[in-house]
Amino acid sequence: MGATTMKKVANSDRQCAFQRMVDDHYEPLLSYAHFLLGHREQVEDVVHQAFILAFDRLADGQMFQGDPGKWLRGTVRNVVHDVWRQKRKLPQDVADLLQQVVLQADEAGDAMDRSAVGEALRRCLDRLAEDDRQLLGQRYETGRRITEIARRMKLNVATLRVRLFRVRQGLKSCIEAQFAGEVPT
Amino acid sequence: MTTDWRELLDCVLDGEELTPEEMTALREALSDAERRDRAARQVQSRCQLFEELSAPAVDDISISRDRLLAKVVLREKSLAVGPSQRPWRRLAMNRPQLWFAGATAVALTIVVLGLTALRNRYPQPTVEGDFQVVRDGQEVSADQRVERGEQIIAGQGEAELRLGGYCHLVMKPHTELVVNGQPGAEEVELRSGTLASQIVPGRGEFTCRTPLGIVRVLGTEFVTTVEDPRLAKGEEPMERTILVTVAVVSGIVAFDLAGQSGTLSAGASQTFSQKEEAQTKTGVVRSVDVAGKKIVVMVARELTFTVTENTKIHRRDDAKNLDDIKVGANVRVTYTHSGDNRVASEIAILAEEKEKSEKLEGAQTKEGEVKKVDVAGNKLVVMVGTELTFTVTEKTKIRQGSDVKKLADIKVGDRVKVSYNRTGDNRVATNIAIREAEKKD
Repeated sequence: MGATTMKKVANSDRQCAFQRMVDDHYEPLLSYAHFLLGHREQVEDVVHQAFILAFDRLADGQMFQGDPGKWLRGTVRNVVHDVWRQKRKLPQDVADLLQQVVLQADEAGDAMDRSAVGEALRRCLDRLAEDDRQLLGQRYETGRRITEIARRMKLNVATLRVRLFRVRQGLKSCIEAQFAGEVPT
Repeated sequence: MTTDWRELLDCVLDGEELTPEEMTALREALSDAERRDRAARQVQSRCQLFEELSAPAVDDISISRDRLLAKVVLREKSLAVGPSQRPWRRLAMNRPQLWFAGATAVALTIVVLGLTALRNRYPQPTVEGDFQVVRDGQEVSADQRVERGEQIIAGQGEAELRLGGYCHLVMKPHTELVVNGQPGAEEVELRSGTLASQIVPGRGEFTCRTPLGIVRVLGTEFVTTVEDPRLAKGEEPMERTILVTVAVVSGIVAFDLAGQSGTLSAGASQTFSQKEEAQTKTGVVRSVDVAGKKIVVMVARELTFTVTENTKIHRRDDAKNLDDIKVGANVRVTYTHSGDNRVASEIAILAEEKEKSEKLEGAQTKEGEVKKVDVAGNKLVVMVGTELTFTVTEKTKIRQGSDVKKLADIKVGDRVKVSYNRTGDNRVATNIAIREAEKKD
């Protein structure tokens, strides 16, 4: 096989591997970056940056050991860390600590039974008061920022933060209680 | 202000800003390993809630993916630039090297200009790499020389197309295009896939025609992608949305796509989308396959249409069947695309088809410049707006003025007037008049 042919075969393999990676991980990665950034701005840029780094890696002839999704999530965490530092003006040490927390959360998430947690979460959501459910809907389903929700609900931002925190902590406790075999309240 | 670090953690994940005091409180909390563990469980829980409820991060994921793929094509091209071609390498040369490079460049320019003056020939389109060539709906042998009007389909690997000596086009795997245009005004019709185009400034025009419109440049480097959503088996061919993405590496391109027109500069990319509407073509029926439910119609080239039970076939107000359509009939076909298929929704059999088909089949005359002389194959290729291939037989009369000539006497670049009979796609020359011999300086 000539050098040109080998190069073409390598290019073709690389393109196939990259296309497969995009097919498998593009949407979950958008969601992950969206979660870490808190709103839609820069989500696409962050994810594209992670995929381009993955492409560079393939172009260098380095294949991915194990699940490329893990590598991509790690890269998104690193890129988000830069956004926290540069755009959100978080101090270096706070950004580092947050990144460490997110990594721990990811590792814990890998170890758990996601479908069981998902079912527990849905049961807990069904038990929420209508107002609280609507509040979560505004934050997540419509993707509004806290300040925007506060303005719409004619509430103080600090008050809304506390209310949202309590609803989310309530859901967390509800899920933990279900896994502990307790009857949630 | 709150000092509850758990609430502050939520604030960061909600994209909210913290005050310096809040930042300090969060720092202190997360510096503690036990509270970091609790923070991780909180983040994990919030992530689960987010995944359950959140809306997509982008309005259209397919367009977002398309933008990524366009960026990757640009990236691939930038990675392909070797170290010796990088600008800083050139700047790093010392003075004598620069002088030598300058002198070489001048010398090369003179040589190139000299050769250009001597040859004065326009390069034939060529293609190399992994590709197949389709002519009049039939796959032909993959020759490096391409004739205008031919369709090139890249295989699993890439194909490289060179037009007019100033357009270097890289077709990504499975890209389909048709080579059109003319000398100095090169044009391709990009049907699907991704095309990276590098155009040398000042040598001619280049137009990339897409299903949504055109991208035109004089000298630049850009990538165009046409996304062709294929239908799954059994899926009804309804209207489809065509996406065209243009990403510019260098220079400026002008676009007129999906009802929008403007320019894009280096580094910019934009995706255009439009729902495809039914199209109509009128032409002469070449063949009818009743069992296979296909009809082949000669429009500028042969197009095959699939006939379904929903296809309405009629002549004026009378409903007709597929077997009522005769070869040679003039028809107007309304159709939509389904992957590579053209699915006919309506076929109207038009009046006066006989006369028109006779005109297509009858004697005709064309005048143009000779592009290729194949003495062994008895073929003559002449550029008459598009390149036409004529078959030369022993009955063909070849003359220059009052002199009788042979096919071998005709040279590339000669201007000829060809009288011929057309039968199907075969053009048999009856008379060839050589108007002007090739000029040599």
